[in-house]
Amino acid sequence: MKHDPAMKDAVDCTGAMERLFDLLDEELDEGTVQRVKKHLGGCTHCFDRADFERRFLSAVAAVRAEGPMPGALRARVMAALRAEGWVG
Amino acid sequence: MMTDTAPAADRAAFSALALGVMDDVYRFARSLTRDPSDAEDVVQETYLRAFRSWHTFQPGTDVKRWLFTIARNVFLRSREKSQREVALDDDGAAAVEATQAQEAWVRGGLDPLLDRSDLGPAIDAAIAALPASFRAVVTLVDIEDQSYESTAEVLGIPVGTVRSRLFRARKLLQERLAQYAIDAGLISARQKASRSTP
Repeated sequence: MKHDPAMKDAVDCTGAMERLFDLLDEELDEGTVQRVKKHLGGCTHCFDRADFERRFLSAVAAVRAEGPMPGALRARVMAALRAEGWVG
Repeated sequence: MMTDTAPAADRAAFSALALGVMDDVYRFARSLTRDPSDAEDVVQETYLRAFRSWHTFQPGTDVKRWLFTIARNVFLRSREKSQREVALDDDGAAAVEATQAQEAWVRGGLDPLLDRSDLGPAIDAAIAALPASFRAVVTLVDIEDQSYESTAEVLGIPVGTVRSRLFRARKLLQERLAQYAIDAGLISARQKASRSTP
């Protein structure tokens, strides 16, 4: 959680955009979150940009659901573990 | 080391916790090696080491973070690649000096694609094409949902470096996906240009 001592007051477009990924990654403290969100609520340009980045990150995160691991790998790892004494 | 004489609870915990996240460990190994076969070797060695040192795992902590750290060490030791990683990072940085105009151009092309459900393979390919150090942060933060702090610990780099690599990696991914959109005929270069006009 990034504490941002420079964020005591309202943020402008530059400040909001500099902290955009920190916001979307939930890396900001609550006070900074509120200030950045307040700016986004009143600035169409920054809101659109934030919405784009949020949708982009959701699309990237969705790759996780595709489960790329080959089925044979699990069996191979289990066999190697059994050879080491694993009895699960 | 945990053997068949180890308490049943330990064995059960290893099975439930460590083996339950093998998909995630494989995905991270793929991001490190870029080669499926090498990734499988890293996964196997990671689990053998994890099994031998399971007694050092602290219950209640993040098992993925623990396994990712082991996987990275396995990878670095097998390839002795740490020096090369620095070079790749520099290459990546040079590749992503995006101007505001470029960013707008990329957003214009990518925006209409983001809600498509068939974008996964293109994103996967774009991640695979990233420089190694960028792939690792994107995989850990964006796909494995690790915090910046956890990612920094796994990769042995400062949090600030995680942040800057992540920013560059994401911009590079967006650029490549926008290009993919044109190459695949999903959007024309003219559409892209007009969408980026404020």
